[in-house]
Amino acid sequence: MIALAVLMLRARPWRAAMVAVLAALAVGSAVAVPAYLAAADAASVRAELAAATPANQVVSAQPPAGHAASDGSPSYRPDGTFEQSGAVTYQLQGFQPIFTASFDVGVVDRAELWRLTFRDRVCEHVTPVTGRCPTGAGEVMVGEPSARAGKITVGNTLPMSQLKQTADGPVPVGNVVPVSVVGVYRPTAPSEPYWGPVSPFPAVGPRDPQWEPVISSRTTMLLFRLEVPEFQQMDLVPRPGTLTPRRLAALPHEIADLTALATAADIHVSSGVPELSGRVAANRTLLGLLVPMAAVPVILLCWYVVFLAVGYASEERRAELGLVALRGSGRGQRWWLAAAESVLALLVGAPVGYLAGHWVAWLGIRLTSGPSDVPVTAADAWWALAALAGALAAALLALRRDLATPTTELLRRVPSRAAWWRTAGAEVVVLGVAAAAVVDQRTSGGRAHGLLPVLVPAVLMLAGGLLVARLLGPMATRAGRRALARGRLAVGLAAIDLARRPASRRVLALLVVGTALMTFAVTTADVGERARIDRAGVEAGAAHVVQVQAVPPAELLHAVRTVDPRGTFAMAAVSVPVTGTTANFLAVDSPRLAATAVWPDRSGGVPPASVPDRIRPARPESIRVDGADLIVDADVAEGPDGTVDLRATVVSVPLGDSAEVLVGRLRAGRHAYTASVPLCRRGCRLASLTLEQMVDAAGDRDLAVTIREIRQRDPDRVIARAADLADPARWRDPEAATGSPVIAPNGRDGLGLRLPAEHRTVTVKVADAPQPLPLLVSGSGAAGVAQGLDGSELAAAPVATVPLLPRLGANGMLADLEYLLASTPTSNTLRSEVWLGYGAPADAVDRLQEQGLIVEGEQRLADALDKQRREGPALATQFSLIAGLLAVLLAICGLALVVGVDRQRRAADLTALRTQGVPARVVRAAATRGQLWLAGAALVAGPALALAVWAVVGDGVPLFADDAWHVRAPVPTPGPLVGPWLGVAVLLLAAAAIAGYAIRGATRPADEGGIR
Amino acid sequence: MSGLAVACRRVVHIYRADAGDVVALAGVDLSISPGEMVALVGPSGSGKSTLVALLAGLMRPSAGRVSVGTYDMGKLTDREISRLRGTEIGVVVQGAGRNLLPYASLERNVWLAQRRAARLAGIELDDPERILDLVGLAGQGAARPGALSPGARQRAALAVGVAASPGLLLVDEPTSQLDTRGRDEVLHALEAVNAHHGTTVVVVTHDADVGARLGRAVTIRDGRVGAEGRDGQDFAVVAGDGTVQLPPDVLGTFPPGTLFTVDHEGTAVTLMAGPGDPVPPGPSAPAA
Repeated sequence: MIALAVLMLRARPWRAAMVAVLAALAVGSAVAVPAYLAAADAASVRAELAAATPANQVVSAQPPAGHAASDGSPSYRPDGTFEQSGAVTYQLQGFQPIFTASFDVGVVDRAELWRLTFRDRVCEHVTPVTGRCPTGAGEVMVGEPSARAGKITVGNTLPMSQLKQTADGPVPVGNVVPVSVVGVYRPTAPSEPYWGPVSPFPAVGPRDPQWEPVISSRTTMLLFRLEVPEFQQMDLVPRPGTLTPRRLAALPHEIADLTALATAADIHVSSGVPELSGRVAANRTLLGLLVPMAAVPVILLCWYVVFLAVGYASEERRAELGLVALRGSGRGQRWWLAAAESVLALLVGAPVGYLAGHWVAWLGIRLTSGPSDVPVTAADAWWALAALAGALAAALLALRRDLATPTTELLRRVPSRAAWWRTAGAEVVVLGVAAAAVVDQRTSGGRAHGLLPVLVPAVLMLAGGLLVARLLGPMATRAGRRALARGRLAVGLAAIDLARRPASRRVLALLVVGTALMTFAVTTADVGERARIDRAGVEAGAAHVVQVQAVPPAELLHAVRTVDPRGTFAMAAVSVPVTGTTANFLAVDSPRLAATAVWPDRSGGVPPASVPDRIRPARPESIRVDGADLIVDADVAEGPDGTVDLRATVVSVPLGDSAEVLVGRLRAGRHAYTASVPLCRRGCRLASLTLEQMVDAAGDRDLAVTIREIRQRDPDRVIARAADLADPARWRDPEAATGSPVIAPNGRDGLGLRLPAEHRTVTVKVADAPQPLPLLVSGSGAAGVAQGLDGSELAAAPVATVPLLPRLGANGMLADLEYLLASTPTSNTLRSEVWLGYGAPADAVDRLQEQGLIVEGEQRLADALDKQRREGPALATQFSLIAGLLAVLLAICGLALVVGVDRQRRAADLTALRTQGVPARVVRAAATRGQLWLAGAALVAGPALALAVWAVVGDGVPLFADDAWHVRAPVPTPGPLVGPWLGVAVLLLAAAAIAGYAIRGATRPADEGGIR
Repeated sequence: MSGLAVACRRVVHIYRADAGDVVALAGVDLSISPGEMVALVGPSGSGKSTLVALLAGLMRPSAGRVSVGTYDMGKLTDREISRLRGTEIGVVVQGAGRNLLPYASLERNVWLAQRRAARLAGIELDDPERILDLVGLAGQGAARPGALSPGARQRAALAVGVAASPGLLLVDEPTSQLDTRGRDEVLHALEAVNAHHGTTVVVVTHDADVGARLGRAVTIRDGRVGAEGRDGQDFAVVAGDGTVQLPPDVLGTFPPGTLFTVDHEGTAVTLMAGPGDPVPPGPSAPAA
C-alpha cells in the first residue's frame, strides 16, 4: 500500500509538492512562534539588561550599623556573624556574594575625606595603574583621581584616622593608623554590577575623590578602633548568564523569601531585581500575546488552504475513490488510499517547515536585534505537532465528504456540490465571532488581555474577506451580463465564469485576507514605529540630553549660551516644580527650541520656530545698571520723616545673582540717595523698589514719595528719567488687585509711591517681564497659574495648546526661561538639563563641563529608541510582518492550487466556447482576465479592509511594553503602505497572470490547434 | 469460485428527483443460472445499467428482490455488500479507464483489486500475472493503462474485475468504442474468464452481436424484461405478474389499449384483436 501511495505521489508530484509546501508553511509558522518568542525573549532581556542599572541586578543585604556589645557599651563593628555566615545564609542560586565593609577616614593634617573600603574579590575588578593590590595589614590602594588630587604615590605612608561627621564638618576620631599605599588603581569596569547597586564610580562627569573608595585589606580595617559605626553590606551579584527570562521570573519570589529570612535577623534587604523582572515579564507577556496573534491567522489560513487543496484533489480523484470503493475495499484501505497522498506530503513538508520556522525566527531576530541564537525548545515540537495535527485534520476533513459519498455517486462524472447551508453557516459563525469580538474589545476599553482579544483583527479580516468574496457572485454576474449586452464578450465571459465558480470566491477570500493581513502588519509596524519615535522624542526632548548638577537657572543659561553663542545646537532647560496641577513645567531657552528639540509631529500646527514668538512677546525694556553706585532722586511730599527705608533689588545679568541694597532712609523733601551696587559693575537690571517702615517706628501717616530720576555713577548716566518712571506700564504693583495700590498716579513727574500707614512694606517691580507669563501647554496641562523659579505663584496664561510637547508629553507647560527669570529674580537651584541637537559637536559635553557644569547623566534619543525597538511589541511587530508575507504567499499558493485543479474543467468550458464559434482572441482574454480581476479586487479590498479593521480595533494593539504612555497612537498614513503594496501587487498580479496563462494553455484542444 | 446464480423478482427501482420520480425498473423478473453468460441489451434509458447496479449492490431496489447466489441484496448491510464486491461480485464499469488506477501498473491494479479477498481466509487467488494472461495480456503486467490499446485496456479492466475470482462478473458496455478486433478480443477474454472459473457473466451492451455471441441476450425495455434471445431465436417473456411484452414491431400494429382474445392449444397461443378496436393495418400474428 505504501508503494501505491508512492506511485500516487509520483503521478501528481506538483500537487503533492503544493501540499508539502502548505504543511511546511503551517508547521514553519507554528514553530516560528516559540522559536521567535524564545529568541525575542532573550534579545529583549539582553536589551533590558543592557539598559538596566546595577541596582536592577543586585540584591543587597545590610545589617544594622552598630549594636550594643555584651558589656553594654556601644560597639561600632557588627559582631561578625553577618560577615562570616551572611554569604551562606543569604544566597541566591547563580549569584555571587560580595561582602563590603567601609567607613570614612581622613589623613592627619590633610583635607581629604576618603572612604576606606574592603570588598571581596576587589583585585579581580580593578586594574593597577601602579603597584599592586593590598593584601597585608596596613596596606591600601588609592584610586587614580584621588592619587592625582592628593599627589600620592606608591610607597607613601599616610597616617589615617576615622572621621566623624559633626555640625562643624568631619572631625578625626579614634586611633591614628599609618597605612602604606601599595597601589594606585583604576576600576576595570566602573559600571559593572560587581560594584553594588550604586557604583562609586559615576559613568559621566568628574570622579569625586571623596566617594572613590580607598581599597584596603580587611586586616587594615581591623587596625582602626571604631568610633563611628562601620557600614557593612552583602551584595549578591548575578554571575554571567544567570539573569535569563526564566530565572528573572522566579527571582521576585526568591528575593521575597530571602527578605523574610533576613528581616527575622534584623537584616535589611533591598533590590531592584523585581522591577527588572516586572519589565521583562511585561515584555514576555506582550510577546506571548502578539507573536501568536500574528502567527495564528497564518496557521489557520494554512489549514484552510490545506483543506482546499486536499478537497480539490479529492474532487479530482472522485472516480479513483469510487473505483476503490467498487472493489469492496475496507474502510481503512479506502481512507488510506484517499489520504495517503496528502498525508505523506504533509509528513514530508512538516520537517522542512520545522527547519524553516527556526530559520524564519533566526532571520527575524537577526534583522531586528542583530545576531542571536534561536534555541530549540520542547515548545517548538509541541507547536509543530499541533500545526501538523491541524493540517492532517484539515486534510481528513476535506476527504470526509468524498469518503462518505455512496459509490455510485463517486462513479458518476458530475462534480459534487458542497451543501450551501454548510458554507453559509460557517460564514455566519465567523461573522458572529467577529461582531462579538468587536463588542468585547470596545467594551473592555480597547486594551488587550488574553489571547482571544488580540485575535480580533484577524477574525475581523477573515469575516471581511468572506463578505467581499460573497459579493463577488452578484457583482460579477451583473458586470458580466452588462458586458455581454454591450457586446464585450471577453469581459462578459470572464465575469460570468468568475460568478459561477465557487472556487473563485474561495480564492478571492484568500487573496483578500492575505493582502489584508499584510497591510495590517505593515500598518502596525508603521504606527508602532512612529509611536516609538514620538515617545522616545517626547520623553528625551532632544537628540542628546545632558543632566547637569543643579545650578541657578541664570548660570545654566549663561553657560549654555557661552558654549553655543549662536544657538545652533544647545539649549538650557530647567524643570520647575509646580503644585496644584499634575502638569509638569519646563522652562527653556525657547529661541533654541527649533535647533535642539525633537519636536513631535503632532504639535497642533505649532512649529518649534514659532514658539518663541508665542511665549516671548515684546516686553518693556529693563532698567539697566552698569555703574558702581545707584542714585535715586526721590521727593517725599508728605508722611513720616526718616523712618522709611528705600531699598532696591538688582539682578546681575546674565548670571542672575541678585542683591537688595539700601538706597537711603527717606527724608522730607527732594533728595538724592546713593547706594553702592558692586554687583552691577558687569551689568545688572533693576528688579524692584521697596519702601520699608522701620521696625520701631509708629506708622500713623501714609507716606507719599515721588521717584523723579534714577542715575548711576561710574560711569555716570541717567538710567531712568521722570517720564519713563511715570509710565505705569513699566511697573507692576502687587497691591493693585487689593484696591489700595502702591503706585499713585503722578502725571509725568516720576513714579509716585504710597506706603499706607498700616503697611510695613510695599514693593513695586519693574515690569520687564510679561504678565501673565505666556505658556505653551499640552493636553490638559492648561493652567492660569504657574510657579516661579523661587517657588512663588505666578500668573500665567496659555497662548496655545498642542497635543504633545517635548519632554512634557500630553500634560505639560512650557515657558521661556529668560522670561521666567525676569518674572522671578530670585531662584532656587532646580533640576537642570542641556538639550543638544543633532548638529551638536562631538565635544559639546566637554565644552559644557569647561563652563563649570557638572554632568550627572546623559540620555540619548537613539539609545532610548533602540531600547524600545528591542522590546516585546517592536519585536512582535517584526514577526507580524513576516507572518503577513507568509499570508500573501499562502494566498498565492491557494490561487495556484485552485487554478491547477480547476484548469482542465475551465479549459474544457472555454474550448467548448471556441468550438461554438467564439473567436480565439476572446476566449484567450476571458481565460486570463478572470484571475487578474481577482488579484486586482484583492489588492483594493485587502488594504481597505485592513485599514477599516485598524480604525475599529487599532487602539487595542499594544505598542509598548508598559502602560506609561497614554498618548493616542498615530493615525495610519498611506505613505508607508505604498512600497509593500506594490510588492504584493507584483506578486499577486504575476501569479494571476501565470494562472491565467495556464488556463489559456490548457484551453488549446489537441487537434487543430484549438484557440491558437 | 464457481458461478453464482442471479434472481430478480418483480424488481422495481425509482430514482427520486426534484423534477419528479423516474421509474427505472418497473418489475423485472430475471433468472440467471450459475456459470451462464448473459447480455443485457436494450435502448439507452431502458434500465440495463440500473439493473446491473442493483446486482452489484451499488443501489437498493425500491421494491422486489434481487438475489445473488444465496444473498438477498436488499437485506445486506453496506459492509456486507462491500465485502461481497471485494470477493464474490466483480464489477467493470463503463469506460475501461475508470476501472484502472492510471499511475499503477496492470499488475498493481490487479493486486489492489485482490486486497479484500486476500485478507479473508480460505480464498485462493490467482497470481495477477496469471489473471492478465487469462485476458490475453500476458507479459504486460508492468505496463501502465495509458500505454495500452483501447481493447487491451478494456481487457485490463476485465482482469481487475475478475481479480478476486468472483462468482459473478458484471460488465457495463465492454465493447463500446472498440473496433471489431478489439471487441472480439474482449469477448474472447470474457469467455475465457467464464470458462476458467465458471464465473457467471452479465454484460450490458447495445451491441446485438455481443448478445448473440454470449448465447443469451435479455432485452430490457421500459424497465422490464422485454424479450430474450437464445441461440439466435427471439422470445417474449412471461413476467412474474403474468405480463408479456410484445415485440416492438407488433406493438406498432396494436397500439396500447388494443383488446385481444387469447386462445391456446397446447403450447401454441393465439392473440386475436377484438371488435371495436382500431382497424389493424395487417393480419394478427400468433405469439409463442
